[in-house]
Parts: sequence; C-alpha cells; structure tokens
Amino acid sequence: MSWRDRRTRAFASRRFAVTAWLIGCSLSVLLSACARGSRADLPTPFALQDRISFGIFDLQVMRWEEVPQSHPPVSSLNAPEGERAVAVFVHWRGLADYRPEDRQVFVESFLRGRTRVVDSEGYAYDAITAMTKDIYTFLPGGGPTQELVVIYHIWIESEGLALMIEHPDPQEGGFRVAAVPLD
Amino acid sequence: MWRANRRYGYLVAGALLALACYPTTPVQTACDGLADRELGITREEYSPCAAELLHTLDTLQRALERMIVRGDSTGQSDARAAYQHLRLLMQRVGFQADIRREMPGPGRLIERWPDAAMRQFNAEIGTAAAQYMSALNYPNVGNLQEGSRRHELARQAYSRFR
Repeated sequence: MSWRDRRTRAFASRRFAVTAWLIGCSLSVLLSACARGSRADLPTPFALQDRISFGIFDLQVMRWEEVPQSHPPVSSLNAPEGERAVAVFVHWRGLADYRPEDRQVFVESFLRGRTRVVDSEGYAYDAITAMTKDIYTFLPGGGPTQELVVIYHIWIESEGLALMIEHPDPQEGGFRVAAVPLD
Repeated sequence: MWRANRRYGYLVAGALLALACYPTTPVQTACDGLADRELGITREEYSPCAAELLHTLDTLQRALERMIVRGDSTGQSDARAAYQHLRLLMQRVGFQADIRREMPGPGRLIERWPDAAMRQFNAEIGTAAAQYMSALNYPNVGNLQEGSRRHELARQAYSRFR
C-alpha cells in the first residue's frame, strides 16, 4: 500500500468516525427532548379535595354525582338519549384582586373552558355548563358562592372517570394538566 | 498605495460589522411582558401600563388637534411618533392576540382579563386608536371626535380599576 493510499484510508475512517459521532449526538439530543416533552405532557395526579393552585386562585374538586332524576328545571341537567349527566362540585379560593361579580364570571368561564371528564377508554367530554351550587340544588342562598357545579354529559356506559383541568399559564416545574380521579 | 487602501477597506468593513453587531436596546415600556400572560392579569400589574397607554393617547390627541383643527404642520410628525409608540404599547400588551382569543367565544379573553373594567378599557383603547389612525392618515374632524369620545370612555374605565 502506497503512502497516498494509507493517507486516504486514514482520512476516510476519521471522517466516518466524526459522522457517526455527530449522528449519535443528534439522536441522543432528539431522544432526550422527546422524553422530556412526553414527561411534561403527562397529567399530574391530584386526589379529591386536594388544593390545586393556579397562582391567582385555587381549586378543590370536592365530590361528584350523577344528576338525580328529580332536578331543578335547568335544561343542561337533562342529558340526551344514550348519555347521562354528571355533576362535579368544585370549590374555589383567591381572586382577591377582582370584584365579586368578576370573580364569579371568571371561575365559571374557566371551569367551562379548561376542564373535561375522560373515561377509562380515553373518551373526553367537555363541560356543558357551570353554575353556582344554589342554582343546582334549587335552594337559593343569596349572592355568589364559592362552590360551583360543573355539568358534563357522558356516554351512558362510561366508567373510570377522571376530571382533567388544564393550566393555561403553567409555571416552570408546575403542572400543565391536573388529573383528579372521580372514584 | 494598494496595501494602504486594503487596510482602509478592512477598517471600514470592521467598523460596519461592529455597528451591525452592536446590541440595540429595545424600548422599555410599562407594558412589557403582558403579552405572554395567559391567566389573570391583576390591577396592580396593569395600572402602570394603562396609565402609559392613556398618556400616549393624550399626546396623540393633542397632536391631531394641532394638525387638523389648527392646521399646524408640526402636528403630523408628533402624531405619527405618538401613534408608533401607541402601537408598540398595544403590541406589548397583546391586543392582537386578544382579538384572536375572542373569536371562539369570550372565555379565553376573560381568563386573561378577569376584570370587566380592564376589558372595557382595552376595547375603548383599541377603538380610539383606530379612529385616531384614520384621522392621522385622512385628516378629518369626524374620526378625531369619535376617537376623543372613545378615549374619554377609556379614561372612565381606567378610573374603575387603577
């Protein structure tokens, strides 16, 4: 083998090593980014009555029930055929910076827009409406209350329900989606 | 001679490069960072920005009055400068994104702006800015008057949350 051949072969093997190293680095960076992304997307579990903080306010999912047959004359409490209406009781605290009427509008809007019920098969059901507890029970207590009832219409045979609450402004290290099993 | 010219060329190129790479400081305003917020902007956070928005609107209104009512030619350049600053502030608050948030329903807008007075203030500021912009580009008293009316409504809304 001539001196020129040896040099060419050495150059080729070095180039191969550099290329392999570059590909390896890229793959490991890509894989770690994917793993981090999937971890961040996983819902964070909370139990019933745990305090879930969203910075300016906290939520507590107190309990849930199927809407009973005899209920107030509110149309959203009637589930369409093949579905059943589920009521989730949520207690909130905070929002001291805002007027009472603004707080109520905000929390109702948040619960309608950022929560959904999922079942064990992965079907997700958006909130139909949110109302104060005194409207739901038809026992007017007067004035805004801190306890709201969110209504979902789910498939009649759904089971293994969990409430998912999305955080619109997740903080560093905080949760993006809170999952509360409705056992 | 040629070598001296080349050295001179290098110097000029270096100076241009240094100028291009010089970090330009972005204009700092009281509204910085608000566009990134998705949840619950408070009165305390928004009041300084709202005051700067109103102050800029005041400057724009005075310049437009000089330009349209009194026919003062310096009014136009002052009005343009004030309008540019107003646009910058609105951008930093995230007004454009708020319009998109309102499209599927008012829910997302309420999440960002739980205070009804702040939402009204923003709506009036947006309308006043649009009216003043029309008066600036097509000088006329009608747009100026409507802008002034909305501007006043924005001031009233501000007094409810500052």
